[in-house]
Amino acid sequence: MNVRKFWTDEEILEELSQEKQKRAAIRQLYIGYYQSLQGYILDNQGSEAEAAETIQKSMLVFLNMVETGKFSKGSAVGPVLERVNRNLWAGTLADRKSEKRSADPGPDMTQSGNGDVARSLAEIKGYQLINALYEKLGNKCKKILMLYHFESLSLKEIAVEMDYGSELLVREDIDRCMIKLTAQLSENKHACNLVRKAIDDGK
Amino acid sequence: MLNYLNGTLGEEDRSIFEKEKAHDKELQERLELIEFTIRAVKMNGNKETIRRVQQEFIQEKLENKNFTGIATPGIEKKKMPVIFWLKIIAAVSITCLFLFTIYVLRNDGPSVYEARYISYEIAADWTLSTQENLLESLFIQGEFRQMFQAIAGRERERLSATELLLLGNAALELDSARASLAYLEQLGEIRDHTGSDDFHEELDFYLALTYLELENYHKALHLVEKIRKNETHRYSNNFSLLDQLSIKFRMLI
Repeated sequence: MNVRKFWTDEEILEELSQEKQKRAAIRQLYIGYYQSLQGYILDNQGSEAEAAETIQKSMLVFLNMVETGKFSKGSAVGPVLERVNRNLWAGTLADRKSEKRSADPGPDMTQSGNGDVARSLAEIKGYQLINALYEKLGNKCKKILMLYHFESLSLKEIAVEMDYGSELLVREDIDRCMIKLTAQLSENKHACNLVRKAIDDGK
Repeated sequence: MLNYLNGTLGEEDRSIFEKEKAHDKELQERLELIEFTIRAVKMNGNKETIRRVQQEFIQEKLENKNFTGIATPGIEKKKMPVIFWLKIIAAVSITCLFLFTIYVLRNDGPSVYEARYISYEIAADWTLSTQENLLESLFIQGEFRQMFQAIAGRERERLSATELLLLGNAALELDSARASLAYLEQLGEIRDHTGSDDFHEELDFYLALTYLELENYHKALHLVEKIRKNETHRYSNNFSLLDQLSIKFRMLI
């Protein structure tokens, strides 16, 4: 991918909201901030591998903040990303300490940090529970949901891509797969409660 | 519910659904759960995209040891468009022009005179008359005023070329360009009249300086061009091209 231009914060935020440019926008985030985010972790008892893992999570949290409107307009991207990264790394360090003390359960990551970052972290925990169920769906269901909800393809495009006879059939399958996924969640009371908690914590 | 979220409900059904939703907490929660599930699917895609971008990015970083991020610019050099370089050239040209204008504006005739004036040095091999000897020794001693007392009563037309040159320079030493002009122009007339080549280089130089001091730019420019053009002229290096341009500029304004 040859992006021969540095993007402004406004451009990055705008393109993150457009599926077709999202990948390029994420790449810009890496070009612009990976080094400083990694530097922070390396300076605070972390390894390069731990930095890579934390930065990946930070990007996800940041993206969720942008997509759910938790990223306040007018804020600069860099400081927010750094705050997310700091919070996540503080959580990791706290986990590490509690592991040493063995008996204590690790602190809840959603409690680390404050406000928008903590709320976004709580939501991500909920997403992880749902995605564990999503992985149990058949490949066809996983693909159609991904094409529709993530890649934002139209019913017509999905029909071509997945060889459906009509858009109506695509619509029916999307709904069927969605019902299947939510049914799985409803059947698992524990997971369902945790997801509801994540929704509440994310508010 | 899915139809409502997909936006495929008709207006009437949508209105009914929204009314029901407003009063039914359970319906609200179920709707919230579905919306959250959709976001989870989206986030799953985001996670995969981020993972791939990171993988590519780290790979590139490993392949390019000199990699630096935006924070320390270096990677992905921004290709500057031609217009950018044209703007740079224009900015540099305007700055140069501005500095040149400032220089030229500050460099008026008296300034050039101050910068280029050098005291006249008498040649060692002169053969002088008694009168000339007296002026020469007074000139060497810096007794410029006494030089004029020494010639009091003599008509300017009767002064020799050597005397006129010395007196012209003495007048310059006394900061009187106007007096100098009279002697040097007289020297010029003698030279034109007799066809003598004596002191022609000295005359060109000191007369040019005198004109500059008196802000007679037209005559000064003629002499400065003449001196600079002739590489063998004794004073050819005493005026710069900028001096010449400054004089031309002064003539324009």
